[in-house]
Amino acid sequence: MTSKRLWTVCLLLSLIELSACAEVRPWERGRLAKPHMALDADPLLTGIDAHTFNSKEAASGGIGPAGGGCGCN
Amino acid sequence: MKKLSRTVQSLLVSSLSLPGFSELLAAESDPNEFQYRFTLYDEEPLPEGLLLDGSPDRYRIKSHQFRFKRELNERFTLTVEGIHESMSGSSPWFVKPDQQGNLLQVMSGATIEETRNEINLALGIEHKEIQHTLATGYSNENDYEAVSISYTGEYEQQNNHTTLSWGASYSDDRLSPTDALLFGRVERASRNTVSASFGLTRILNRNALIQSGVQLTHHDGYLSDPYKEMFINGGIFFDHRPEDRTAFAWSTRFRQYFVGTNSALHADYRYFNDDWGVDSHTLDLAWHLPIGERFELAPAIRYYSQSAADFYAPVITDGRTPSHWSSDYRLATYGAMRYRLSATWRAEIWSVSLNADIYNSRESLALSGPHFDTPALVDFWRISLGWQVHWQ
Repeated sequence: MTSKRLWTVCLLLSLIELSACAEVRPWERGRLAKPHMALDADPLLTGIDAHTFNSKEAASGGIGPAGGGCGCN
Repeated sequence: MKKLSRTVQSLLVSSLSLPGFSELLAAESDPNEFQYRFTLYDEEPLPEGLLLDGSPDRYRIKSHQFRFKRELNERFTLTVEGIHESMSGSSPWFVKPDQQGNLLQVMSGATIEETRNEINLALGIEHKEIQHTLATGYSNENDYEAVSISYTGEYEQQNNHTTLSWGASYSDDRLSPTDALLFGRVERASRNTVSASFGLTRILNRNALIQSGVQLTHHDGYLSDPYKEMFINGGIFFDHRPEDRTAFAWSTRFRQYFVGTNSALHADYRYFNDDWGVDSHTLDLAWHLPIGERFELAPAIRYYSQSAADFYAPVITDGRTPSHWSSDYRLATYGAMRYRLSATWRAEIWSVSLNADIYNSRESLALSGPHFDTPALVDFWRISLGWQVHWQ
C-alpha cells in the first residue's frame, strides 16, 4: 500500500465527516430505523458470508477488527 | 459491524410513537435476541478436462450457527455466538503441465472429512457515553486451533449525526497438519494476527446514512498452506509463502431509503491491498423491497476482483528458482460474481429468512493483474435458512 492511497482514504473519511448533512431530529429518523435500512440486519448471515469469502478469496477484512483464523481449504 | 448505535436507537424508539412505527422498530429496540441459521454450501466439481488426478468432487459444507444476546442490566450486554461445521470433499493439491503444456489440476485423492467448532463471547459495557465491547473467540479443527481477543469502542458525538468507532484484535493460531509424517508436511506451526480499525457512521439526511472505516492487519508466522504443493521445474515442492503479511482494507456501506416504494438500497464497497501484491475491489449491491406488511424480497449482486500475489504461479517451468512460491488458486488473478435472492417474513417478535446464492469465478472478470491459466477457480452455490426471535 502506498502512502498516497492511505492519504486518499483519510481524505475521503474526512469528507464524509465534514459533508453537509441536513439536521435530522430524533423524531425524523423513523425511516433510518426500519429493519431493511440496518447496516447489518442479520449478523449470522454477515458472519457466514465473511467466513466463506475469507476462505475462498485473498482479500479479507471490513469495518472493525479482524477475528481468528481457520484452516479452511 | 453494528447497526445504529444504542444511543441512536433509543432516541429513535423514544421519538417514534407514531402509529405504525412501533412494530417496525421492535427488532431494533428489543435488547434480547436469539438467532439460528443453517447453511448448505456446495462447490461445483472440477471439469473433467482440467483434472489430472484425484477426485473431481470439491467441498460440501453444512453449517449450524446460533447467536444469543442478553441485556444483563442497563450497562452490560452479553452476546454468545457459535458455529458447528461439517466438511467433506477434496481440495486442489497442485497443478501440473501435460506433454502439450496444458495446465491440469491434481486434487487430493481421499475424501476429506472434518468438523470445525467455534465459540465467541462478547461483553458490552456502556461507560461515560462510550460503548465498549470486549470479545474472545475459540475455533477448533482436528488440525487447526485459534484463540482470539478483541476490543471495540464506540462514541456518538453530541449532535447525534456521527458515531466514531475504533478497535483492535489479536489472534493466536496453531496448525498440526494431518498425515504430516506420511507426506513430509510440517508437523506443527503457528501464526499470529494483530489488527487495528477506525470508522465512522454518519446520518446524511432523513433517508440516507453512510458508514466508512479502515482496517490494518498484520500476520506473521507460518502463512503457507501445508496441504498445497507446486510443480517447479519438474519437481514438486511444498507451498512456501513469506512469513509476514500486512494488509489494508477500506470499507464503506451506504443505505438509501426510497419513500415511494418503502424500499432500501444497500451499497457496500471494499478496497483491499497487501504487501504480497494483492489488490482487490469488492462491490455489493442489494435492493430490499417490502411486499405488504410482513414480507420482504431482496435481490443482490456482488462483484469481486483481485490481482495475483507476487509469488503466485500455477507452475514454474522456466528454470528460475524464486524465494517464495504458491500455486494456490486463491492467490491468482480472478474476478467473481455472486447472485443472491433473499426472502424474509417478519412477524411481531420473530422472523425467518431464506437466502440462495450462486458464485462464479473467472480470470476474465478480474479488473487487473497478470494473466495465468488457473484450473481450480471455484464455482459454488449456497442455500441458507435463518430464524430470529427478539424480546424485551
